[in-house]
Amino acid sequence: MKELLEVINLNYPDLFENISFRVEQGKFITISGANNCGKTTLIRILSGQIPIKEAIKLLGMYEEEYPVNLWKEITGTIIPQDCPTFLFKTIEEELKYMIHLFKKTEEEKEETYKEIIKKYKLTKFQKKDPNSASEFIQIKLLLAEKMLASPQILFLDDICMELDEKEQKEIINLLRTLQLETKVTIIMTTSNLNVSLESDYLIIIDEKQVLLEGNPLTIIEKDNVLNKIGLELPFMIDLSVKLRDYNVVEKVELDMDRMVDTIWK
Amino acid sequence: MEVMLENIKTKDWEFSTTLSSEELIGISGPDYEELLEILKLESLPEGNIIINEQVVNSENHLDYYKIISLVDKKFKKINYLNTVKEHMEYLINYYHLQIKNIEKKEKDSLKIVGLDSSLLNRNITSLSNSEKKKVQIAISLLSNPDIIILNNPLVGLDNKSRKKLMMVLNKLKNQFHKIIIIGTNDADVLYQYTTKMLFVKNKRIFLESKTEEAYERVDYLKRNGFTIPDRVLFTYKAIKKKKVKIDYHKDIRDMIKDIYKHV
Repeated sequence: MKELLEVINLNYPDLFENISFRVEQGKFITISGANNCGKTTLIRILSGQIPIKEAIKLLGMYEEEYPVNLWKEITGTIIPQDCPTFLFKTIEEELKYMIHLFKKTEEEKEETYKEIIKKYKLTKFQKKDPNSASEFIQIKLLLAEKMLASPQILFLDDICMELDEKEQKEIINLLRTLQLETKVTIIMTTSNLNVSLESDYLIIIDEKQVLLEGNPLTIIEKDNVLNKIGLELPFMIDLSVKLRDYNVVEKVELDMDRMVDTIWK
Repeated sequence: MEVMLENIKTKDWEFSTTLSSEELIGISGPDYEELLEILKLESLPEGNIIINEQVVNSENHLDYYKIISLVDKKFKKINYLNTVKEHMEYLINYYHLQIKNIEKKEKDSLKIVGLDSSLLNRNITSLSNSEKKKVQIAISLLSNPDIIILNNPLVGLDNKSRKKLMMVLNKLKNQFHKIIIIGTNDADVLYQYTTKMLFVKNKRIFLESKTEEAYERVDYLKRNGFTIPDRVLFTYKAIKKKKVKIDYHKDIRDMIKDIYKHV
């Protein structure tokens, strides 16, 4: 696998001390940590909002070596807490305008529009005002817009935070589909470890350092370490790990029905 | 502190309920946010509202406006204001709050939610998500409200912050007899932290009951589209599928002990 992104000895006052990690092309990475560990700041640094020299490499080149526009084209960033505003009064107009910027023929535009509405499940919301739509709809719309530019990598700052479980699942499935179709790499911060279970690789930041990194399931099993820094384990993992300590089960089980069947055969 | 709402009719909603500082109240359901807005009593709905045995009517309605504060889902930064202090002072002026020592009050409000007073001069945009949440609550405390309504207050907070914040809310309820209402669709949060639940659906209060009793009605809630907390669902499955005699527990450690006894 090709390395797409490298973070090399990243330093930032009060938040990061020599943080380094590498991201392979096409992977879905989640980054988590307690409140105020710098998740949003990291996304701002990666996206170029906070420029830091000789720390971020994309496709072998430092961020500062890219022309500004090119960096913006090959990366797509969503930070919901910055309350993004939309230009148009309906989702249809908003999307059609964005499509107009990237597609040439009328046929292409029409087809792309239909495709997006279907893929992002926006049919019912076409005539709604994007600025007053729910956070869930706004995130989907932002994702659709960012993907129009065919970015190499997406930087997403806790986009699942305000969503309920069902909405979270839909977003994760959507990200997975986008990845399969376009091989886009995804870096997403999350305050919810349940979400990170769905990713390929998890990085936990604590005390200005990368505390743990690797396969999400292996990381999340380290309940003592995670509890200590204040992160809540997903219920089924918490239950599995604790029951394993009591020798009731042997391994982590994520499915509730199977867990019940394992305990009471 | 008690608020009686009888035969309330407004914006297609119809309901009666009593809110008291004896309970930590949770509200959940597809349209819970609408009910939170109504409870803010910005406009007087049809029906009887009795706050601490006083009837609220069109004449005295505005006196009650200050005592209810709604902590929104997101921090609404005011365009031309920057720092935490500026936002606090905006509210103090807006409500004409009579505060002797403003600086002390501002610092104390921050302290209650576990924030350092150095935050006062920080720009809102430089705060982290969790800091913003806590500042929102600190600002809402300035007017000394008797009823605090919080929309999804724990989202994005880590475990430590959640526990601290819930301790603060419980203290406000127990020591100062404030009514605390938490609106969210996070069943695990509601099960863990509230003592009384209002489930809302189709602009009605669909079920009103003690939290534990309510969530143990798993079939009923599921059939009506409400989410069941994971720990309740697991116990329910064990009881239903395997006829195991375990009890419902809020604390996972108690749950593990109970499971261990019944293996």
